[in-house]
Amino acid sequence: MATIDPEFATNPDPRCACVLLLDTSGSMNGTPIDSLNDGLKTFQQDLQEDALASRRVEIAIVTFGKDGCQTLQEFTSAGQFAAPTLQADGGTPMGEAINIALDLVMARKKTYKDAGVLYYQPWIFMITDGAPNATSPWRQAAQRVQAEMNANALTFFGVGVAGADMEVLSTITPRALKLDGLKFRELFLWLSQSQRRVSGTTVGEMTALPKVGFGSPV
Amino acid sequence: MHATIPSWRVLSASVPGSSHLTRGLGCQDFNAVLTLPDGSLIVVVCDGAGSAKRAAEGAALAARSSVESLEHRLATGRPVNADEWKLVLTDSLMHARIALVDFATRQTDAGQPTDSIDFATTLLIAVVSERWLVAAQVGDGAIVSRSTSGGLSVLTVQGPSEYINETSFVTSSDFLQLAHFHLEPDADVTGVAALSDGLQLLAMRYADNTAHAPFFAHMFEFAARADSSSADLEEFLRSERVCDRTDDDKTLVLAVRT
Repeated sequence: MATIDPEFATNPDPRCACVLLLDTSGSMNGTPIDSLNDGLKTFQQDLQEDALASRRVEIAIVTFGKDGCQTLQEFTSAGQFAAPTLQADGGTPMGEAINIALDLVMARKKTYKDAGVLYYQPWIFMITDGAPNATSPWRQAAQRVQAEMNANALTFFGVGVAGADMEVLSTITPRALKLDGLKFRELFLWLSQSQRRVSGTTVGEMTALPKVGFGSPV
Repeated sequence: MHATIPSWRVLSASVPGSSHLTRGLGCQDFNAVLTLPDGSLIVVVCDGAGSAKRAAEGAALAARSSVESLEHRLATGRPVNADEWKLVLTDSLMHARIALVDFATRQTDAGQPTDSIDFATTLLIAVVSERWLVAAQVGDGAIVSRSTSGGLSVLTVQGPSEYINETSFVTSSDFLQLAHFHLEPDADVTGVAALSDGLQLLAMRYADNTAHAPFFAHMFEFAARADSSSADLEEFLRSERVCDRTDDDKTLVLAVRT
């Protein structure tokens, strides 16, 4: 029987950029932040079970709380991702954090283009349990998000934990969801499964994503 | 002078991707190949949209309709210039689209509300007829031809979308504007290959949309061997080596002049 053994083209893996935008304000202290940390571990484990996703999905983490916003992690391939353990304290500079996340995504796209790397539509995934600081420029950030989403430049998900201002979230994005209790594990499993699907075959619309079992749309 | 009627040796396979299998979906790729009595070759590859509810049926119906349309049209005579070929190909694309719309309507009338978008699929067509080499493309995937000297030509273009997973479908209302045509009157063709996007990563060079020569040289050689079969091709597409790089459905059609 004839064997087939051609040499394959070496195209760089297409990339799927995902920014986790996480509220680490004081109100998250205790069970919420513990559950969030567990969720992050679940996210890491599930992604790393998928060889393709491990190579294609890239994760950046921005936190907002005490000491303002922190880019805890620049884009790292899922295969190399190690879930951090977050501490909670301080206020909620949400607007500033959103702007940082948007800048990260824009810069990453430019890096991809310059390197000739193909990519999927990036996602920003924000989790918050409160409302932005009174002085935070969140409305301006919300306008930026809307503009980018209208231009199909990215998808921004806003997940509200108990106590979150859902009106603020709905202003920021049409993809606002309320988390059921502290179902972070289910949330992050949904996210990793979604990223695995997106980084695999053709996905045109939300209908091809796994069912949401961790919360409900606002 | 008696001209020899060309004949073709064809291998083809469409296999489901591992991501489709884990989601309980079958293969949503479909391919169809036909050689006509005058030696003309028709190759069609369709890739059903991941987000379409009945993508597999859409791909099969679109492929069959477009082949049928070409077969009927070419039975009445070969187009003599590029404009005529473009019309024939456009007709074939329209046939496929109408078939999908009609089917959706009949299903709805029969009590199962269906939209043609449920059958969304890409559609790639290649025809070799006498010295003509023509192709029509709606969506991603690639068609590559080989000349007598082994040189490779890519007949398809890369999509306009920023994102790798966004492509056009024959069910889109602007599918004709999105269609790309290749119309070559005096082509030296000893082989044609058509593949769906699942294989593009391995067979094509994305940076400049060229065919990766070591892949095609090997595959065309393989297709020319008397002991090679479509079953071998299918096994190759299912192999770990291939599936390690892509979990999408994969189609490869290889036709070599004998």
